[in-house]
Amino acid sequence: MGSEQQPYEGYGMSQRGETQLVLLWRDPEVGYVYWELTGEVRPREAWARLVRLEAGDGVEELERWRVDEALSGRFVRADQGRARYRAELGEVGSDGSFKVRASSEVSEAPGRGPGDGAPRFVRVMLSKTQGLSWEPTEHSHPTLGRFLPGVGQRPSSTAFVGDQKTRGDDHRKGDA
Amino acid sequence: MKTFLSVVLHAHLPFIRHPEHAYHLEEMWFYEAMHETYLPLLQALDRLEADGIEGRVTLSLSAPLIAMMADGLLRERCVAQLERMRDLARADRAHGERPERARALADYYEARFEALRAYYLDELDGDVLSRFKHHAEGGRLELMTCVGTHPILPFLESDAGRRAQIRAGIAEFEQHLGFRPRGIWIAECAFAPGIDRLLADEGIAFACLEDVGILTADAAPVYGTYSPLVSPAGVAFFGRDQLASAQVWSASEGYPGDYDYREFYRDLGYDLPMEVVSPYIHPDGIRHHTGLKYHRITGDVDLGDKDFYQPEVAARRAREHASHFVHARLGQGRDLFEKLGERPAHLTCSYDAELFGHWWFEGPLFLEAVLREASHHQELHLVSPLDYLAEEPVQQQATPGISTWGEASYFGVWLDPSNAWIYRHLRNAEARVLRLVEKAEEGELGSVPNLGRALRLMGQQLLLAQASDWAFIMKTGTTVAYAKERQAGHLAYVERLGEMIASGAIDVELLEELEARYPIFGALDVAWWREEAPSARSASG
Repeated sequence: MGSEQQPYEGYGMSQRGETQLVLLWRDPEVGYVYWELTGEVRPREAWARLVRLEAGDGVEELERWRVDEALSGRFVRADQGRARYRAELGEVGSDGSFKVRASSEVSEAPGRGPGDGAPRFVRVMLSKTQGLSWEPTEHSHPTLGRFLPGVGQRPSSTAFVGDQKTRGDDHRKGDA
Repeated sequence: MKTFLSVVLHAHLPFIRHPEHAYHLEEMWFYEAMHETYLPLLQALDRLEADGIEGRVTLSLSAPLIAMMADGLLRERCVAQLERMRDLARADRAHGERPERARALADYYEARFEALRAYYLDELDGDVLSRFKHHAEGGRLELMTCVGTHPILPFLESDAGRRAQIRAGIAEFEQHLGFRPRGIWIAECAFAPGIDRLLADEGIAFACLEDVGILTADAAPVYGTYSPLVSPAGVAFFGRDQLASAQVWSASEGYPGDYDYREFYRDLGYDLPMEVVSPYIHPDGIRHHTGLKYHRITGDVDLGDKDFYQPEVAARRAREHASHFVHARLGQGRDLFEKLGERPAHLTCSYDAELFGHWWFEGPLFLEAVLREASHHQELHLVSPLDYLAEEPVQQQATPGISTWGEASYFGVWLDPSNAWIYRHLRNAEARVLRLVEKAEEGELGSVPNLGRALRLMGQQLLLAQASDWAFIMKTGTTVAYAKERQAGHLAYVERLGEMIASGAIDVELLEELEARYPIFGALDVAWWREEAPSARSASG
């Protein structure tokens, strides 16, 4: 899906009465930004952009577009899953700099693969009224490969990648 | 070597009840679901009980479906529809020259609808929920709730709004089933980190996700989807097994596409001459599905070239497929045992309940046969996710990733050019409710008569507007006008009630009209929308 701006449609509800930008994710590559502007944040030359937040205070601008008040939403492209993004509204200076007047909340795009957290195990306890509780447990579980999201037909999306090195330190089913 | 199998059925319809019309096309969705899925499913469970067959199936009941099943008007109309279809079978048999096979099918449907009518009216007294509860108490069902009106939780404005939807689902379930559910079906399996905390806060122990939710967790799932992940908040998330699931739901590769099974798209509502069918369809002469379908899939042929359906042949195929399914799961479990480090696999097979019966007519027979076949194999344990956790309490801890069970496993169905524009309105409505609830709590709205009533109805209308069904219909392009009319209508009520509440001029007639028209969420508490201590992580997608 390419970038696409959408017209505003009335739908039973009035606008909020305050400036807002909202960023929602369709998938790891495509987000949707919509905006509503009020008087104090309605610059004559309004622009919006999508930025990816980098380590520290840095941002990488991915897309910039002119805000037409007849329009109200736009599909945008992300360049990294699991990264943090923000939509911003502002003005563009004569030197091309972007002066931010309003921004969306920071939002993490979905991922295509697992995070890099270390495997850890818990022992769960069921309660009739309190749901689940758990306590940490020392547990080492060897598997002969990895389960990863695959590509192609749906049944392959739980592809077992058998040529990986054996996971775990040993082959005992250790449940201390 | 054990293999655990959880068959999880998700039962949901949007709340559709139109007392203003004697005959309403969209209400037919409920009647079809009743006579094709829920009544046959209960009959199958009854037979399993009578024969002492062990094994448990998990079923989520959404709040709108529960409210519709409990509603007196819809019960009456459901009986009338069963009788109408029985009478249509009689009328078909009586009219003109019909092939012998068609007459036999008319006999079949007449007997079927009469039996369903007698079962629903005489045996159940119109109360299917009590029979579901009976089977839950008897160990054949694990009943779960669903999130409120089935919203895409990550797209809601706030955690308070998400909490309100979760509590609405639990409250409706508890009000009608009489106990607190321990599992929840997250609408469309639409998950984002943070939702687990909200579920845990309500005492929810488990939920189901698409496999991608497990496979994109914040730590690599060492058992893939063959064990749940327990989030740090304390909810076990079970990922759908694609292989086992696709064998059932896939129209091309799965069992339902077998040529002997009943053809869904050919129906007497469209086949019969208008003079015969008109008393049994919409009074304006609008043809629609009746549930009387005389043909089998046959093959890759045009609808007009389909052969006649043979119920006994199809039933035999369902039993054969059930046997195949059970043996395939046994083989899968054996294969996985070694790969998982000599640990029994848990296979989560989750489906829309309406697949069984409505879309795949023989589905309830298949399910019954799966339980019967599995009872002959000690290796295979048909359990609920909770049963499995009791057997295997040591699980990996991780937080699942953002995902849904929709196309491509993300949000493309519900965030598309056809429907993305609705979210501003839904979120603005939610913000309006949050603001007025806060004002009411702080005493800023004074002591206006009927204020609490109006606030509750405003909350109810917001919940109804947030149902994911409306966005789904817009994307699929089916009954788009109805979906827009419903959603815009609920939002307009939120707007109007908000204006009344803010001005202190509450129109009691409107309140009475809404209370009569929407008998759902009787236990609604506006405090559900009160902002509480923020969760550790935002749940917004």
